[in-house]
Amino acid sequence: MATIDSQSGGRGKPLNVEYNLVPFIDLLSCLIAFLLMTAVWSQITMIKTNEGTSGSSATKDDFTLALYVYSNRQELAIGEGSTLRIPKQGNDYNYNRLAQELLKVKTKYPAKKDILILAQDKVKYNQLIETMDTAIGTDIPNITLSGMLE
Amino acid sequence: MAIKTPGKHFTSGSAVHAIIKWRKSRRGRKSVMATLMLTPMIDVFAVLTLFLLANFSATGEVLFMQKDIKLPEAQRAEPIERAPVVTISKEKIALEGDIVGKSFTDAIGKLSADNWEIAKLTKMLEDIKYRYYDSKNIPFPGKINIQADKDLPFLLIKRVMFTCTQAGYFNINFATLDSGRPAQKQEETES
Repeated sequence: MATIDSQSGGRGKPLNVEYNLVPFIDLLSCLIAFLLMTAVWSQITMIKTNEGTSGSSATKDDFTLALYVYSNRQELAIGEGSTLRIPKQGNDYNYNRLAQELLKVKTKYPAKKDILILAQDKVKYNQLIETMDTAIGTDIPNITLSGMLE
Repeated sequence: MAIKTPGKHFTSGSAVHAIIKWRKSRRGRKSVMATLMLTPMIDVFAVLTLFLLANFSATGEVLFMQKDIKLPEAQRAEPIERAPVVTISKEKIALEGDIVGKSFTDAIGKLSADNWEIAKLTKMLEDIKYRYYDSKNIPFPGKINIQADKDLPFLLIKRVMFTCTQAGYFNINFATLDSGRPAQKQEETES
């Protein structure tokens, strides 16, 4: 048992205290067993999409921000106007450039929160997730994912 | 705490002589009595408890990792919510573990406007929806989790998404592995 040894020095009552550690160890053991059993080791998260609804359409920035994901490039369409072409960098898409362009849109239209992503059938799921992750990173969390007519 | 050797333990006063005799007989030998150090053990227990409490997740395990599915990684995803899970691997499509179709034989090569929908999946999803309506009096949230392999083409995911929306599930969540926030990642690489 754990003791605290404090020399009284005089003739008085000794000041030594003995802690009963057994219940404390029991409690810790039970807690550890419970936590080990309920522990979640893999950190699985999720990316949300809204199918059929176009997110925050009630904002004053009422235009469609669309991102077309082709097998060899990405194209960012801002409303009815300009379309920006972002070619692939090696085998993968240029996510840094996409983030920069989306940030430019956000600077111009801060209330814009929704994006429509249209992808070709051949595009890999992994690349789509990374594209959506980039959009969320630029504070555009309302994503609508759809297929593209080929 | 002392560890006692197994055997007879003398408690009555008449046995004191026997104890003295036994001790005398052991004089000069190394003692078999050992003291267990409790302080380091409690330290280890305390650190372990703190570590496990810090990593404790109240939602529990929503998705189970599968051997044939490698999840894609994302940095800014949200914690996963509880909803029916559609798993898509290179071989099969399953809802909550029940196989509803084969991935490639059904999806690629034989697609037309008629066979976009996975009939068995639609039926099972509708069953879950009606059970929800029967048991709860709140609007149906229409949430579904898709756990798909990262190397699959979007065509296959699109087909499952189409089936889900046909069955009334409009909030589709894609399961990902948390690869840490960008700032957090940068710190890790610097260290």
